[in-house]
Amino acid sequence: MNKPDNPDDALQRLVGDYADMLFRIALVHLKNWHDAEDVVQRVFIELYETWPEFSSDEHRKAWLIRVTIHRCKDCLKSAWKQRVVPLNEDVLGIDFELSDITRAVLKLPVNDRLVILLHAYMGYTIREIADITGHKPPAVATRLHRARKKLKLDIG
Amino acid sequence: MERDMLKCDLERVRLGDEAKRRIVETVLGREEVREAKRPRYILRPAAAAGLLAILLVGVVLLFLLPGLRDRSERAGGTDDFFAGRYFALIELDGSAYVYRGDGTLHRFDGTGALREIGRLKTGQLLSDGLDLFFARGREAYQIAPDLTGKTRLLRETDAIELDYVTDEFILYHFGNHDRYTLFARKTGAKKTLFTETEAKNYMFQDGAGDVAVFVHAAAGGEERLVAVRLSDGQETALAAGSIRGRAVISDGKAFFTRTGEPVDRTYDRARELWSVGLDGEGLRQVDVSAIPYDSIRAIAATGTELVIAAEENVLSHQGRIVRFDPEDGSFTLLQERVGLIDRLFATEHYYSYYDLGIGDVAGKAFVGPVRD
Repeated sequence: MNKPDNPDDALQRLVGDYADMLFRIALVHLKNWHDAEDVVQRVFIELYETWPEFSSDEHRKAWLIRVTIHRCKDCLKSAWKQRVVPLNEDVLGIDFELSDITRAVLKLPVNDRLVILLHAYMGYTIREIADITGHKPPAVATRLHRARKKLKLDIG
Repeated sequence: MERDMLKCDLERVRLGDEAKRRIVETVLGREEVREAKRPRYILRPAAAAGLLAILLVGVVLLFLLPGLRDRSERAGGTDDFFAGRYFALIELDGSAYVYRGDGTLHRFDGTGALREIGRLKTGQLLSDGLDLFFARGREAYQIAPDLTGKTRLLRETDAIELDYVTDEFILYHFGNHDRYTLFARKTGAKKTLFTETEAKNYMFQDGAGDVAVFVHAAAGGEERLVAVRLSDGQETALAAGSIRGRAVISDGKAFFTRTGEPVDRTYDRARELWSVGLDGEGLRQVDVSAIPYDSIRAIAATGTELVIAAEENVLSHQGRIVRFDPEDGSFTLLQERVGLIDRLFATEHYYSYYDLGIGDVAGKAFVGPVRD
């Protein structure tokens, strides 16, 4: 898939198709509505500026997820971001009551909750998660196992 | 079933149409579209006359009622909260420089409104006390406070994030492995601070003089606070155990927050404030019992005192910001009824914070003098 003939229209369509999904990943990662929105914006800027060649829609989706995860990590590493105590599950900036399982997921360490999100919510396999995150499949499997164990302990 | 509940919760999280439109506009650089759609007049003549009358009455009242004027001055700070993202507070020559998320740099002299100086395209802004420093992509720049004389200082293979600037050096990190690097400003020499495999385990917290404080997170999840002497890389262990939020340096000590004994399993927030000398001596819990609070959201340092964002009731998201003297445990109230604090900054004479909005409701920021 080469750069589209009309990148502006393509961007608009892709924001419509993927922005919510990327936003959820960023929000679960960062626990901060505004930072998550910033990250999504940065991802689309990167897409628009580089417009890599994608072999399929699935490839493009994986690229968007991967870049979102990297930008979230950048954000967490940012000296500015670290000036506050990490936000907890009750202060995501969302205005509805979360279920116990979602609260428990949000209490997991950042890499564990990302693996849970990609596996349980987005349906990726361990191998696909390994491709997206750049980790080895056994490491992903271990992380997933550990995260599930923690969730079981937390929600009983 | 639990998976379904998680899915259900996440599906309800959506960016609004407005946010999506904003993203598209920003990416396409179409700010001018919005500008063009704005009405040509800011106020209708009748509204302008009404506003003028209200302003006149306000000015008269301010001079006729000294008590009212005193209260107004004590409140200090910007005339109004300003909306939008907010990134940095810097103090130069007794004035506060506020860098907002829309890329505008403003100056504030203690009272009145923020005065816009100009625009900068970056996500962060630091200072050595004389000039401003920022990174854009793979390059870092120095610029005068009036935004003239931009000089490129260094370039890397990946995007740079600046951490700490003094008149001697610049500490920054870059790349996926967070290679912390020290750039000597006089010679231009670069020196990596940690080995490549270890670098990503460190997270910069604060710097003072030749010392930078980092949180080191081991692969097993264990955390410790360390001080690193930048001139020779010598590391000193300050404290072990989970550090919540950001550690700050004040008066030769590192201050940091810890969770403490959780009240219930839902709110594992920071409740304890600790301090330790930068030589690793004198680790102690600081008595903050004088401050009415439920948990500590953020701390910042003025140099000799701390500014603490304390939440008194997590459920109602009510909080206050206080200036705290760690020497005698006394505090002075700076702001009441603040919401969820996302950014808290302090300099010798000023403090500022960014109050998170909820959902699509935008956050707001405030800057004011830290003392009367």
